[in-house]
Amino acid sequence: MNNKINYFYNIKKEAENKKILFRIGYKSGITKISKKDEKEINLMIKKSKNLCSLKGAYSRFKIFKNKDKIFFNKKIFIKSKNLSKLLIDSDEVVLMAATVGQEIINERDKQMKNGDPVYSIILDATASETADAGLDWIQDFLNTILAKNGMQLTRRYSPGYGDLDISVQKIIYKKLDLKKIGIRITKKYLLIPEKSVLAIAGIIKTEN
Amino acid sequence: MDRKKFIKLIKNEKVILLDGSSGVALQKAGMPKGVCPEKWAIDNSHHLIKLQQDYINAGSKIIYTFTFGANRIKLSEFNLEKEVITINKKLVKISKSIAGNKILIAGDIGPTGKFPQPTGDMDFNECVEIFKEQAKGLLAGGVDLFVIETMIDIQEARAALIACKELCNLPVIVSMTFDKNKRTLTGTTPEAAIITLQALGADVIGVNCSTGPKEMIEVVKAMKPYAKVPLIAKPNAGLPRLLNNQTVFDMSAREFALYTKDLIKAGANLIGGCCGTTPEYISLMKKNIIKPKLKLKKEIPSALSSYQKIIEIGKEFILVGERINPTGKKNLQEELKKGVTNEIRNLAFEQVERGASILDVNVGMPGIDEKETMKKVINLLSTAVDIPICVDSSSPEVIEQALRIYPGRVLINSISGESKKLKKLLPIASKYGAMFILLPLDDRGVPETALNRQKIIKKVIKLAKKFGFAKNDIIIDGLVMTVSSKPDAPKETLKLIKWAKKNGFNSIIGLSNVSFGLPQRHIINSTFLNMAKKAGLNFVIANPSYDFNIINKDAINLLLGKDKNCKKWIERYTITAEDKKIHTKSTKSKTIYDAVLNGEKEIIGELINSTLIKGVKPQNIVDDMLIPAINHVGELYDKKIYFLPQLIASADTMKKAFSILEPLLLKSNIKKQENNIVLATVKGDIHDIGKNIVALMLKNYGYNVYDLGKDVDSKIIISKARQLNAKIIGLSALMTTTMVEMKTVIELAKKEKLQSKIIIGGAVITESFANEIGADGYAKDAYEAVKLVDKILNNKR
Repeated sequence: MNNKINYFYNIKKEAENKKILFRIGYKSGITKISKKDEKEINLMIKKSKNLCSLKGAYSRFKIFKNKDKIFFNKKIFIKSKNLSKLLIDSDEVVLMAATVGQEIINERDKQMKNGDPVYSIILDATASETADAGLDWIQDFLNTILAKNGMQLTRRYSPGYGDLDISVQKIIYKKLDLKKIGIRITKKYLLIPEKSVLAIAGIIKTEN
Repeated sequence: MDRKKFIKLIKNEKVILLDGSSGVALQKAGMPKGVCPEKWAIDNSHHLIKLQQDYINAGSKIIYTFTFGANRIKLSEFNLEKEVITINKKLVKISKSIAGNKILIAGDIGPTGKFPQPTGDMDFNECVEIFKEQAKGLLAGGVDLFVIETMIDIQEARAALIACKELCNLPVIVSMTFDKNKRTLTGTTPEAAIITLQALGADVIGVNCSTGPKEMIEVVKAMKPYAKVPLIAKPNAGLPRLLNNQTVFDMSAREFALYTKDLIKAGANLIGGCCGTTPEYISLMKKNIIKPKLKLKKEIPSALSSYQKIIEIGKEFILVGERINPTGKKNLQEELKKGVTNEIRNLAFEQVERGASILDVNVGMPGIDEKETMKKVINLLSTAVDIPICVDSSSPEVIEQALRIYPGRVLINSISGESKKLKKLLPIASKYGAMFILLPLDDRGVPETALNRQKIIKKVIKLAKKFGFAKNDIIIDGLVMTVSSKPDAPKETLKLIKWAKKNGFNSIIGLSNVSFGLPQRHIINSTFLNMAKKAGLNFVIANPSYDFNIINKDAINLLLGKDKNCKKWIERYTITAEDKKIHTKSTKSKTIYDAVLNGEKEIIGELINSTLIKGVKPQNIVDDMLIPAINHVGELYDKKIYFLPQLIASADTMKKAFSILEPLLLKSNIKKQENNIVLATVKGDIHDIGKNIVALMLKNYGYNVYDLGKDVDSKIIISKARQLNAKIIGLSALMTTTMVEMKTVIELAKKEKLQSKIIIGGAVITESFANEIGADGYAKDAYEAVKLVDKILNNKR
């Protein structure tokens, strides 16, 4: 199977405003906000989205499984009960990544230090949601391609959730050669730019 | 087949029946999964021959070659990348062997599976070359035409179309795939697809695969009002799914065929089936064919397109944003020299926000490679904004670069009567289907009168017609000159605009030139724009930040040449120092309490000062106004009536209030809160937004916060806490890998017998984790952190 990596340098996908607002505590029907503040916050969200440079990558990999381990080859494997359960019907997976770039992070930090802290938290939330939207876009793209052959993706799972150790970020990072889209990884497996997300999803047959 | 003959054939036949799916049928015939389909079809050609013969018997007049994935990238999955020409040629020969002279063979070109720039990482020209290689193989086999199909990215479709066009003059069909929201995956609408592709020279455009026939009717309907070319529709038999390891489709041939009439009525002239269809589907389709008169637009509509959408010219007044131009913009100049594009992004965003429908893009300046810079900027703007662009350069090479790589239909600014440039630019504009602004000047310079400008316009149009341009494709530049140096120039521009309108042309002006060197330029600009609109202008290139509603009598006199030497204007409208006095805003009945509650940072300073003047002591302002207000904010936040931005805005307002009161509190010897707090994100962790919010909140509740930043070593945290005699150490971590570092800090504090209380927080931290590592407290958010600190330090509010 094709193990070539596909890179996307400009993903045209925006995060939904309601998700951004939810992330910073907005509760529909409870939170009260003046029209003026709403207008200002919406403008800040727009400006924040404009600072996102959404990039991504994905590749497909054959896997084999043994109990709660998922093997890419004899040496490289991931241990996770949750993931093994998710991939129970898959013999192929997709590794994917999305990043919003460094510029919005720099602006966020600048605003927190010497500017407008409200804008800073809007920048932060927009960046987080946009990175997630990038993975959504990659999943939509793959589902379009896979549908031609009656296949689809499972939901995605990211390192750091449940029992999927954060160190798995290193495996995905290497497999996707993510420096090509400007991502670095630290010794503690943190990604730079900060708002970068990785995930794994299985390929399954579409339900009858 | 000749392109003209092909269109004549469609016009005569009105509806041409195509074939259906091949891949799934060959799977049923025994093609195993995991093999290269094209290679298998060559090795088992009798199956392909039978299938295609069945389609011909069912009534198909055009048969697609089985070469959908026969490009270098797809074939490399099977190590067959060196066989591109051979495989394509052989598969064409197989189809030709049964075609006879009444069936046309279309060389099928499918997507590579990779995205060209700007969405993907593949260089656009490399993408063109990949398709060119395949097209060469198809040509060598003797195809009658090309069909580029199942394209999910307009840029890849453009690359394939350019490849075919650069090789030969055979007809090219281009067919895109749209989802149920009538968008391609990269966001292109059917309207944008047809405007872009027919301008680029596609002979038939349409849609295949995607969804079933019912949904496809809507896509065809959306394209039809813009179609100068016939349309194609090849739907799936519903969506595919696997049943016992076989791909199956839900829609029966009978049900599928029932949509034939509606597809034709919607505007499709070439119809067939995609995934899941068989010769039976095509045969039943044939029985439902109706043959209405073929109605096509005579010219390509006057419209521009971006990656996503179109701007129709003539429907409403269009503002072209002029600000992406380094002239007079130091920041932009410096960034372009460094190869940075942040300022471009900001300028684009600002102009879209202020109503620009098109962005003028000029990156010409000394000290940079204009062609490379243009490439970078075009790739950025293609995805950063969704409006079309107007390429503005004096270099034909730069313009060509932009036209080649932009995923839409571009406006060129501009083509003049200068003979050398004209000869270079008309073929380029024609090849890429661009519209252009006709600048009425020639080798002799700028004619002063409208009459002489008309002569140049007529000369350029005569030549442009030879390259296939129509009136629709050309916009006349009114050529605005500066009124201060040529008092009659605005009148001549207005005359030319009127002439353009009378003769069926759209017209445009670059507005700001008119007021150069005069005071209050925006009044002159706006007045002139309104005069020009009245004369028939439908475009303006200007700064969208201006107010274009001003019409001023003195400006009208100036622009009509009635203000000699602009004397009156200069006298009346030069701004004096007195005029520049800034008027402060009235804060009316606002109170300090309300200002904090509403997070109104901009008025808090004035309110504090006016309260101090009234004799209220600084400490009373803190105790009686600020603290109660922020406590109220905290309560609202607790109840979720306020959310984080409101909490932060109030905290920031407090911060400003404290910055004014702090020196006075010290001066009046009123005891300041003595509790020092050290905050840090622990070693190995680089996330600090949460910690920063906690710092802001604590500061505004009167604590002395020493924020050590992120990725801070435990020794530094302990040492600083000791030095400051900190009552509290607050630690933050976001990841499971870094939260363990908190324990290291706590253990070190114990070892060093430090008295500070240690509290922790962060996305992955829990109360139980805090207990487990021996922390003195845990807070789930910034406001909780304030309450926790208050509690530990026994501070009541």
